[in-house]
Amino acid sequence: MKSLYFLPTLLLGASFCAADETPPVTLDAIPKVFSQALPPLEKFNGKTGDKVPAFAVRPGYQVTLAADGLTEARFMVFDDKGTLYLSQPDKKKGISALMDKDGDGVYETKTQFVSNMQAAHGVDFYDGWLWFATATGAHKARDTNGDGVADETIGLIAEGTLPRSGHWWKGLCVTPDGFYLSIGDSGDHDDNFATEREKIWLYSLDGKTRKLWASGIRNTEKMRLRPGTKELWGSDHGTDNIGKDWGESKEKGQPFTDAGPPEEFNHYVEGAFYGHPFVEGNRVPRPDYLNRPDIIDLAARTTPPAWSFGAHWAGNGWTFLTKDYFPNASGDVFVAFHGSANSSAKAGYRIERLMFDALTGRPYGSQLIVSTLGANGQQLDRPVDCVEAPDGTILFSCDSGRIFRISKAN
Amino acid sequence: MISRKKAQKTQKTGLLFVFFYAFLRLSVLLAFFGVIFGAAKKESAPLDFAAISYYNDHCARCHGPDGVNYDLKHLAQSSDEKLSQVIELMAENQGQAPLEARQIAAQMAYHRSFMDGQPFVILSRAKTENGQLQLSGEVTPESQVQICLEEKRYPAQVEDQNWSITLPAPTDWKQVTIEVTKGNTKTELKAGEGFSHQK
Repeated sequence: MKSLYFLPTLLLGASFCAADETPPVTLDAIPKVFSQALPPLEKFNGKTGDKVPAFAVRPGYQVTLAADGLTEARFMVFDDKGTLYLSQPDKKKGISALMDKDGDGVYETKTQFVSNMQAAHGVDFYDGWLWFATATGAHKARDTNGDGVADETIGLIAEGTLPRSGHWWKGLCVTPDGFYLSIGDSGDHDDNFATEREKIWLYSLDGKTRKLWASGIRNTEKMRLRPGTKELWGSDHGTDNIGKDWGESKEKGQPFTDAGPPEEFNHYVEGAFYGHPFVEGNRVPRPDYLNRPDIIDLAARTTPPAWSFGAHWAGNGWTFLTKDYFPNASGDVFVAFHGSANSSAKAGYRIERLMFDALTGRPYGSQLIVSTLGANGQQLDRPVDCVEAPDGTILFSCDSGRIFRISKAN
Repeated sequence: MISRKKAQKTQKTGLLFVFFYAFLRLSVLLAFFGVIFGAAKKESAPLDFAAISYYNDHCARCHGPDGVNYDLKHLAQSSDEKLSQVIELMAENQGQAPLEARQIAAQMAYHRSFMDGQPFVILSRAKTENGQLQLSGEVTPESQVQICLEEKRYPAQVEDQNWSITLPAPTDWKQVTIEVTKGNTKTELKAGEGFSHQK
């Protein structure tokens, strides 16, 4: 009978012995993780209208076609009369003006507002003028007789002045203090520190003088002020192929590159440095620059992103929401992600909502609104820019030459 | 003391090692000359790759038609090795259409034509049939293409970036010269070389 008292002890001992015999974890036993996999989208049953591809749309929203047949559709801005301007960086094009005269959400009229302007890109509307940057210059234009075609154009930065090649897409944001213009990297991660590239410049409104605003950017294609403030914000693309120096290859895969570096959403403060090309995301050195003697100093001077998105998502254009059309969304941002070119699985390809805290004015979370990948991960379209329409709906332009409209589900 | 058997084995291993080493040295030497002669020898077959169409479909959206958005001075500073690496990576990533070695060489040549400010030309097809020679290929748009054969010149048809012509067949089609002019710039291609602007 006494021996029964020992039974639990024996069993306990046996279980310890069993634990000791468990083989150690081997690497082969751990499955490979695809960091870019899409979240489950079964519940994304928001409506899509006629001629809209099978996008996955968050419930509560719907996507309809606003305009079609606009080759090279890039950046958009509204003027104070509800005309939508669209840049088309094609030699024969320039900037189109679109109107939705009957207010049904379809932009049925189009005029060629600016013609024969190679590589028109960043656009903004200020003080009665449509301001735009090309690859190598900046101008402002207006239509004084109401025919939808600009009849007055003033050069601000002469064509041929700004550096082309590489990331030539100049972002533009016009404010009473002057206009901000971004100049991107000449390559993927070139050291342009001592040049005018990889920087945001603040030009006087006549374009004659400029001062350095911020540095260490890679490719910020659009900047805007946060409504009610003078804070300049922008979305910056991260670099490609970070794992090449660590031996990534087609055979071994590219796990480093697939997961990093993040795409940045930055608050561009005067004089601040954002790390590129030396330091990325939350102050991680790019391997190519790891052995620089000043790498710690560079990191210490780097402002980390205010928000990080997935690697290679390619946040091109975006907009602050200023109206109360979408519930509790005023002050938030909608970002158009063009989608990855440098990851194993397609990543990005979406419209994402970035939530801003009303008290701190800082981002605190983000959610997927529209995925432009199909059920099998195939590319249905590539979003370029987002803009808030006067009625509070959001328009997004795509590579296919279409503009889609996001509204509340009926 | 090492046994005789063991010594023999060691000797054999040593001999094998010497052979292997010699083979290795020879391969390196052959590879070295291969690279030298390979680089010097120009391609000698029509190019079965529409390099200009590829560029228009996969590169022009960012780099502009005929490389108009490039900073050519910046481009000219790149070594051939760097240019080749960048083209390979860009094709695979941003272009989403990977290229093979000869296709990369053709893209490098097309980019050299931007830097040289000259029209680019490709011979994609050469076919002799019923005493006639049919030639076709790609060329920088808005160029004139003439075929020079036995001191005669025949103007080719050009539509966008495609050119074509049917001629009386010569004994050797590789003797044909393709002469391209655009404005006051000119490029000559010997048919046997496949595409212009090779180094």
